[in-house]
Amino acid sequence: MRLRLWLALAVCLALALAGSAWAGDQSQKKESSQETDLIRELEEDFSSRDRSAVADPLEPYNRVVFRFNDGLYSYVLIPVSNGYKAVMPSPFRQGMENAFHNVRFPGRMVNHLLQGRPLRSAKEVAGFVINTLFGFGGLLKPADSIPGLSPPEKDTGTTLGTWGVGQGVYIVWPVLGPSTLRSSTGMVGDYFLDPLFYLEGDELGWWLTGTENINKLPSLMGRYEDMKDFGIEPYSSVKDGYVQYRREKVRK
Amino acid sequence: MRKKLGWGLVLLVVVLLIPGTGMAKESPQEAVDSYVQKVLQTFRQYEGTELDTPEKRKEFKEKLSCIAGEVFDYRIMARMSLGQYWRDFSGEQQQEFVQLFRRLIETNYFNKLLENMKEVKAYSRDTIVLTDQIVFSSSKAEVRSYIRLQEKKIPVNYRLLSRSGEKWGVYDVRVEGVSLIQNYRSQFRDILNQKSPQELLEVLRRKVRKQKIGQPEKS
Repeated sequence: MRLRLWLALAVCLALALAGSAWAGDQSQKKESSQETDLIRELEEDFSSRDRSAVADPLEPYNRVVFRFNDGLYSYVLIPVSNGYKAVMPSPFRQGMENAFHNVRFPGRMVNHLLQGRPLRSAKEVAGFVINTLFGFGGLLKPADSIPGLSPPEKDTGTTLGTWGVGQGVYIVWPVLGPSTLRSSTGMVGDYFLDPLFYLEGDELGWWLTGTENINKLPSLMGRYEDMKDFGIEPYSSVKDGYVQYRREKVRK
Repeated sequence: MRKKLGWGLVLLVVVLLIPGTGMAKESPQEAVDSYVQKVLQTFRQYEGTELDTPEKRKEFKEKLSCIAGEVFDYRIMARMSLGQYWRDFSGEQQQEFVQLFRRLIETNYFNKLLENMKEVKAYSRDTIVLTDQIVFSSSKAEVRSYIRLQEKKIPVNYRLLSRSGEKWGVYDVRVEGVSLIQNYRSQFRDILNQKSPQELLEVLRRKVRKQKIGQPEKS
């Protein structure tokens, strides 16, 4: 009996509210009410994306490392990168990047499989064969000009993502920069899937990886400088940029 | 015969009165396309001239700013980048914020374009390729494109809105899945957690003052 009374009251209240809201709408210009709806919709879109931001319990530590990295990039790596750019013309850099990308195909192939995408896996193999045979051992990427033969890039971190593992906490590594718990775990997997680390000679893999990273410095540092130019709070800008970028990589 | 003509006229008037049918509205993709073409044209126009004098740079910047202003909805962009904090700003502060936000984005964006102009020799039609559009509703849409830089294809998606049948305006740009507005949102949130709107405006004023077109900020 009491429940019914409450229900009746609730219905009355709801009606009254709806009525007043309707009246309010009527008194406003139609256009502006449409505009508020639109703004509310956009606001909802953005705030639902806000909610999937990663936790940052290590923030005090992360900020210290971030500042250290910033100094390292600005005073060491960016000058090194500029010097390297001066002696290595862009086509050479691109060729080297292509070659490294080409020999690393097993990691991408395995991760496509682990994500249940055998077709993408097969495309990686086909791409590797074509680029090696017709692209001077992978210096050029003729496979890219064949439509549909370049699947999105996948690493172990994205595999964990498709399996439903959350990004985990945000971590800023010295030198390497932004990462999450999931991406960092993924990096261990990538290491085991990297053919360069199965070469004879213990240190060869590290030397080659080092070379690859110096070769990539110009584009990596360029990206970092862009973020700094655009941002007014670099720490949050880089964190959010990294998290959004990784999320998109999993989604593709 | 006359009667038929009369009915035809009535029909024509009716069609013209129904909003949105009389004049064919530009589709979202057409809106972005005309913007991109105008930007490329301006670049071609200034190619070769080194933009070495401050007047030249100013002229160039104003031209681009004008083109961008036609399609970018800076008021919505600024408002969305503040999120819930928009309401903490007074009307005057909101207005100043929109102005500063516009200058922040324009300066960085144009500098980025200038930088790439040096890298990519000729801005040809296929440097920026619009691939498709998704219309979510009569007021929200996305236009997808990619920029070809050397061998890389960088996906750039534009988010557009249209208020009650007006023309489409861009309110967000997503480069490789990273939303520009979402990124500013996280930065402004971090700042406004500790500081007042007035202090944020001061930070922006300083940042904007430091930047100059054609001379990326060095820090």
